[in-house]
Amino acid sequence: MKYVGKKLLTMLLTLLLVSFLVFLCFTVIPGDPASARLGTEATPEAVEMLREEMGLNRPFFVRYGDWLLSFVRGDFGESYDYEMTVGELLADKIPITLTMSLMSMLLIIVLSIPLGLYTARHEGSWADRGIYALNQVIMAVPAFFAGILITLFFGILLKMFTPGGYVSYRRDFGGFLAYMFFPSLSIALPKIAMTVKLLRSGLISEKKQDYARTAYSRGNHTGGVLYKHVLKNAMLPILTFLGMTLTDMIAGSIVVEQVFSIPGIGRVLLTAISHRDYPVVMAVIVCLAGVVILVNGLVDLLYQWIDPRIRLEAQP
Amino acid sequence: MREENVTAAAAGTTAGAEKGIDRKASSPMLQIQDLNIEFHDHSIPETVVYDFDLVMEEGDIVGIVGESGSGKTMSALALCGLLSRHDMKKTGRILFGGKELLTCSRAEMRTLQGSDISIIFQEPMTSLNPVKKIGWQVEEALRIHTKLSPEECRERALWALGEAELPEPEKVYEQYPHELSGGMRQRVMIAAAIVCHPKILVADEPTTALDVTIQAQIMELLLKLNREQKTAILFISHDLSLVRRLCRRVVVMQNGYIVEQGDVEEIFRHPKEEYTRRLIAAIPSCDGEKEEKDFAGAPVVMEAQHVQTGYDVAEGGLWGKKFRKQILQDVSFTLRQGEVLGLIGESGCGKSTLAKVLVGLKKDYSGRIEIPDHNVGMVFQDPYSSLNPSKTVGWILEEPLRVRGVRSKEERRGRVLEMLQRVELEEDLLNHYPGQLSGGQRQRVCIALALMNRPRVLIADEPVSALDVTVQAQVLEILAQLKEEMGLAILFISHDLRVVYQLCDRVMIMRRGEIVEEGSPKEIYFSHKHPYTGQLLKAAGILEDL
Repeated sequence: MKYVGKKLLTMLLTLLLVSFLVFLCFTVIPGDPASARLGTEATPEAVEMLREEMGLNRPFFVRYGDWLLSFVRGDFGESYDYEMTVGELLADKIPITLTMSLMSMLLIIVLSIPLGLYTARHEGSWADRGIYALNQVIMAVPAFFAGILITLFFGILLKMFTPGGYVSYRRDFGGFLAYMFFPSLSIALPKIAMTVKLLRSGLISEKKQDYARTAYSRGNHTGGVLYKHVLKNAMLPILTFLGMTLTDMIAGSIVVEQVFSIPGIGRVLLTAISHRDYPVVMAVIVCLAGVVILVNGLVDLLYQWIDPRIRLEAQP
Repeated sequence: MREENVTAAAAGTTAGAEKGIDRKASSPMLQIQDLNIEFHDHSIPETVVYDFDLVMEEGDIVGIVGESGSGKTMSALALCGLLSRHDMKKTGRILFGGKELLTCSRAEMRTLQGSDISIIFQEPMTSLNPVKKIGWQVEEALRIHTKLSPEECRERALWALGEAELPEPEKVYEQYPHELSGGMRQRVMIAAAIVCHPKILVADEPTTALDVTIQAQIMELLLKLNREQKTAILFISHDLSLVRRLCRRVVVMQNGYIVEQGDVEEIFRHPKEEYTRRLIAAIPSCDGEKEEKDFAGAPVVMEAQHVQTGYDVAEGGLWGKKFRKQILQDVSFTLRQGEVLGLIGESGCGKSTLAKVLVGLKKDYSGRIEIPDHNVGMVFQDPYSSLNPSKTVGWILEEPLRVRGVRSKEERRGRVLEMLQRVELEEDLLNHYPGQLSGGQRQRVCIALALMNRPRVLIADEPVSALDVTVQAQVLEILAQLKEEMGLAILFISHDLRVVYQLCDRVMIMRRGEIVEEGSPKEIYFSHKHPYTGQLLKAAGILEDL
């Protein structure tokens, strides 16, 4: 428990640091929310007045402290751009991106673990070589391009979904999930290829370890050695990779949301950055950072659950 | 008397095998005939075992002795069905309990593995699955071969752990491999191997990775299992003296062939073959006369006074506390020109840490170290990983000279050639890569490398532990010669008491970072004062010899 407490404290500190850096960044980079809001025609006096009104002329640390206090209280401020509070905006958009990321993760796990096991078990077979070649190709395709190909193939040729026909989750949850399947697939595809490759080579090298030979010597068949002994050991690097992947997928979703015209967090973030809509940018980035840190923390905990050697180091 | 059921071909080599064993008329428990093993994973097939024959009865203890590459492990793995059917071609017959193991199906082989035929391996550190509990691993053979309930399995596993003399079986049952010492892990391996009451236990160098005292305990345990459970043991080792202590019968192998086979004592006293004679002669022994030299007048080349050091151990993570683990407590000694000082200790006692401090690889120590001419050569244990594999031997040997600023190419070449001659290596090895050399050649390159700058002190950290006995003898010979020719002083670190006796003029015994006894080899080996020294001598089988 002490360990988890320390871990949480570290996570909170990291989050604080991230928020500070983001706040600092947007103070330093050129561009002004007041002039962005009033447009290019506005007089300097009008801009100055709006700056005063928005509190932009106060000292940096005062503004940061102010923002931090209200953030902790759950008040993320009001969007300069949208006619709603940032809290409402996020509550509306986060489920969309979250669904897409979780669906991708699920696809990665469900598809790559059996494939990895199969290729490792039948190392050198035709199926293994075929999957290897396919993997190389898929890995080289970025998520947005995979999205375009999927739209073309499944959407336009096979008519399995309507490109651009996004269904809101508030109106029709089933339809929403059905529409989200293909975007999720296009994010997941390159990651699946990488995971299969990583798992295959991990399994093959673990299979050659002494303990696997011991397992054979007790009368295990190849499947028994792979599932009962080798898989858990080979999962360790995969877990780290999947943790990093989830982070990466959120970044990747920004582009894929454009390709499939999904009104998710990615789109919000893009427009907010270009319009200098600071309250929105701050909230989105801190939330994303929170997710990343949380996922990494979870991976650490999972690691310990799988590998007893790490448990020992963490709890002396 | 001669066995009727052994074929004529096999009878020739098993002639000495029947001694003292009461044979039933029925076929033996295990009969291996004309076993040939060929590798097929390269383009050219390579035979590693030729015409291997062996007969074992219930309760037999047979040793297979040979140096690396002799095919001893391959033969044992073939018996256990652990050689890939894909890459290895096996011909001949292995008859076990009426079953033909080479031709039976894999499913049939699996019913024997772990139940009737068990094996323990050399490396207890890596042979257990790191992410599974000990209990789970010990029970595995039961889950595969019996229909016992989980409770019954647990009971049997606890029995096996107790039988392997692990203290607190219930606690060990719940632990993971990394929480146990090497000796305990090997006991766990043994427990897992005997849990189904195997008829034969194959032990592939089971004590090579362990300290002498632990080694002696494991040998005791194997003997007890043989006595009480009537488990036959096939003991594979490179160490003839171990085989002599454990086995009744021995098979001597070289380059895949059986050289000689028969009663252990018989072979030791009257070896028939040249190779066996060489093997026996290469075993360092403690009965040779030793002349006692006095170095009191010679100049001191290395002196350590009250050296203490340790390591900082961090308690994990950003918030962890640090504490210091003491490794060396107050070590003092002097080394004089021309003297060989032996340092004996078990793993973890701090002997390698001392070497690191002395050559300046570890600087956070207290106490005083004086090396008048600041020039120390160092030879490490593992000749396989100590040399950069991507550079030629010539380049490697010239490096210390380049670092010291010897500009002239001719001078560098000349000194390298001179050094090569001293360590008895051929000149044309200069253009070879370390990977192309044998273990003995590599270790000689390492020695030459350590001496390139003509130091007066050489620190050798277990320089022969990774080598075969005959190669070991050659390397020791060269070290002794170098000492004479160059007036070298050597700090010789080893866990092998016999090697130290042969080579050293003075011996220090180290335990938990402290030097507990120091004296001439005669004093230490024949009239030791500290009980720990006695323990070491006994474990190494030296006290019994006398």
